[in-house]
Amino acid sequence: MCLAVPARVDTIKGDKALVTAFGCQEVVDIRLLASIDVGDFILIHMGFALEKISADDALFIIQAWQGLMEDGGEGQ
Amino acid sequence: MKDLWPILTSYRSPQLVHKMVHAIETLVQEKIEIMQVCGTHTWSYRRHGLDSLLPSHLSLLAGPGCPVCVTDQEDIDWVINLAQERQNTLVTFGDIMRVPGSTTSLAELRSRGTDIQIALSPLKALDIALSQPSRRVILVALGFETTVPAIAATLQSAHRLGLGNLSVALLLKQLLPALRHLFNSTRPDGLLCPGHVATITGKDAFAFLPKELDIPAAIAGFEPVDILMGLAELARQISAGAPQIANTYPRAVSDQGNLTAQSLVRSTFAPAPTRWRGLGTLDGTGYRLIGRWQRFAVTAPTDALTSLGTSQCLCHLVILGKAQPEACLHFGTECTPTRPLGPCMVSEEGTCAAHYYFPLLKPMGRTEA
Amino acid sequence: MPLTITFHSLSPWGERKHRDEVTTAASLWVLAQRCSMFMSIELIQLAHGSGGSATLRLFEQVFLPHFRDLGLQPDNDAALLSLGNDTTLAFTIDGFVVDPPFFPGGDLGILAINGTGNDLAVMGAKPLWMACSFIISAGTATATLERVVESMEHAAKVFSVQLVAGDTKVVESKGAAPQILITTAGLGILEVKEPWHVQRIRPGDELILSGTIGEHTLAVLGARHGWFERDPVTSDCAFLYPMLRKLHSIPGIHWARDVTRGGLGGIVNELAKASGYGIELYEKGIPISDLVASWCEMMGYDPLHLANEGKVLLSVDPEASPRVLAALQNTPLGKNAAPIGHVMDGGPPLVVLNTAIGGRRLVPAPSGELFPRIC
Repeated sequence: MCLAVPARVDTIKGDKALVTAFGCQEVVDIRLLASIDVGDFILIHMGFALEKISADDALFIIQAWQGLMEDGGEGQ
Repeated sequence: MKDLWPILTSYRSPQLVHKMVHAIETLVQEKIEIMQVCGTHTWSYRRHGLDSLLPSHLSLLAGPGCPVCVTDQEDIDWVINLAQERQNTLVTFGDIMRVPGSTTSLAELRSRGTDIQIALSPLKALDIALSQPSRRVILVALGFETTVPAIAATLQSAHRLGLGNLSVALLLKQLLPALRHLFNSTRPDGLLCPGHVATITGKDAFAFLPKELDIPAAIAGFEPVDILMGLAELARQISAGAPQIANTYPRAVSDQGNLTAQSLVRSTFAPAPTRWRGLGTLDGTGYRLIGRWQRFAVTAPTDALTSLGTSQCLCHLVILGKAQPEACLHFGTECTPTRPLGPCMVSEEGTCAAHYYFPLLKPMGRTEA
Repeated sequence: MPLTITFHSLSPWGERKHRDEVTTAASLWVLAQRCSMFMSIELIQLAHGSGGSATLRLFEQVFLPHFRDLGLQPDNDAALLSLGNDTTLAFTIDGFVVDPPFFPGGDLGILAINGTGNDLAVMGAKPLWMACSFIISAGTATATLERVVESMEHAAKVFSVQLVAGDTKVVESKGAAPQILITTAGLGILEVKEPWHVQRIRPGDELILSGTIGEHTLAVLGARHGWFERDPVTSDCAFLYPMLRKLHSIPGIHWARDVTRGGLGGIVNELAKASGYGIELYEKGIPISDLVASWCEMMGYDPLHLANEGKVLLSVDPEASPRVLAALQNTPLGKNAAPIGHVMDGGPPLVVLNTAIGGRRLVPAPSGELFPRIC
């Protein structure tokens, strides 16, 4: 359940934002977010912005895993 | 601000997938059964062929995570009846179209010319209601905690627009309280928690799983690496014997969740009992409209509809993770996605459909891409 | 531990733990066969026209038993008719109905010429003559009909096809929106020495796809439901003969098929079934545009199930493969051509996909109308 995809906010006008998701443009409703800025990454679900996405967190956890793998070595 | 796209690509990296599978293999020594309660997890897991990579003693059970599958037969019939009333235009999401009712399905009705619109967003119902003032437009609201705020916001708009011809048929459900009921009778070794429900509710809302029920829990996203991170975290907790609530999807899930969405939901809905396929009627797992929003509710008939057909299949057990789809005698024979007997075969997220579409296939000798 | 009913005792598949993969796949196939015997069709639904397993079932239950002994050549897009001298004719017929009749990149009229022309071209024939039949429901705007007919005229002229006979019927629309159904029959002359035929497929054959998948379905769905307004997808609707003609002199092409209804997944499953061999595909090799891939992510669609109207899949001898690929890539329609898999040695006649992340899964035949997955 709950298909939601990441998108980048291009412009904001009132309750709506024009976003780019995987290279496609779409207008989404941004009323569910307390604050939002152009350039933010958001998660969209059924035409609504569900939440902002933290690129730092996205990077951190993947680097942590990559690091863990390298430290752990291949042979374990 | 970092660019997210290159980072997201690494969540599909074959090298990282390979390494993580190796890590999971070393962590999982004994047979473990992990439950997931999200159709998009089922779909992603099968679509990417993750099951062909993971050790066979790690099995993934699908719990009641597909909103179509958990919708009770009587509610399906109710929606079908609404569609058949001549003055109604039904606006619905695609998933429910093929669900068999006692006598017909929405897809069948639509192919005979019944006015049923498939929408990608509930906001579409507003446009339809505005442009066709003489029609009674009924939005079929289906979904879990993730979807509820979008429905609330849609009603807010309808109120602002002064729409008198829009109503909602509420089939919304709350997954979290339902999990408590579910784990009274079934107990997996760990729960892969649905990332987008958690986006709204927050991580803390899942804390009761380890604290009160002693079940290891990890909130996971939906890319292959996301799912593997969740599974690895669960395997770690299980082998350490220390259940926790872990958030392996921090890019979209915070501790508190989306507070704006939560308060919008609270001002629109109150918890109410609702019926689940396989679980029966459960207190506090559904929603009812409150205050001025009540006028948007389509009232269900006072006498409960009597559904003609009874469940001929094992859907009610499959939803609870108590039976694998292949255990059902109808699976793949009388019951296929074109002609489903039960809802688990209907939605592509449904466990049976996922098993039908992407049958298990362990590598028949490795080949290089 | 949860109470788990496994299917050791219940399943018709046999014991799960001890079966090997080939047996699993084989029993699945057997099951699919049995299923088509069990299920009767009471009412025709939209799914029966989608080109997936429902369409196959309709064909096998209703048509095949009656037409089997009348010379039907069911495994190819067009029948080959030898005239006894050096001439072999290719003959086919196809019906076209699309809602809405106009969509980005094409319309009903163009489809009616291209679709039938392509069915001839994939046999190695040159499409020359067509006849058309119109079934129009009362209430259709004449302007709409005219636009469709103009498109047909244009397409036929551009591709040097003669429209030599026709017929028109008007039917009641019975409450549903009025629509136009066009049926075109096509006749062509075989230009290749050995016809491209499913019986020539050999284990080890390489599968080459002429371009990106999925555009047509998304273009039509977008136009029908008002989706993708900001970034509409354009249909790949095209006449394939000019591209395929470049391949006529290359030996080692065994089979070709335009990848239409049912999508790549559907066509490859049909190929497996008709040839009796298993098929192996590589997800990384399958050409797909960023736009289609993006919309599929957002809609929850599997691009392998989306229809195309201007793509061809070829099964070729591995030695001929580089020449075929180069010839395709030299044409405007084939510039994204790529090898996407191969024919396995032996059965079961199923399709295995090696996923981009390194996993493996079976590719099922699509089984009906596509609905977006959203909640």
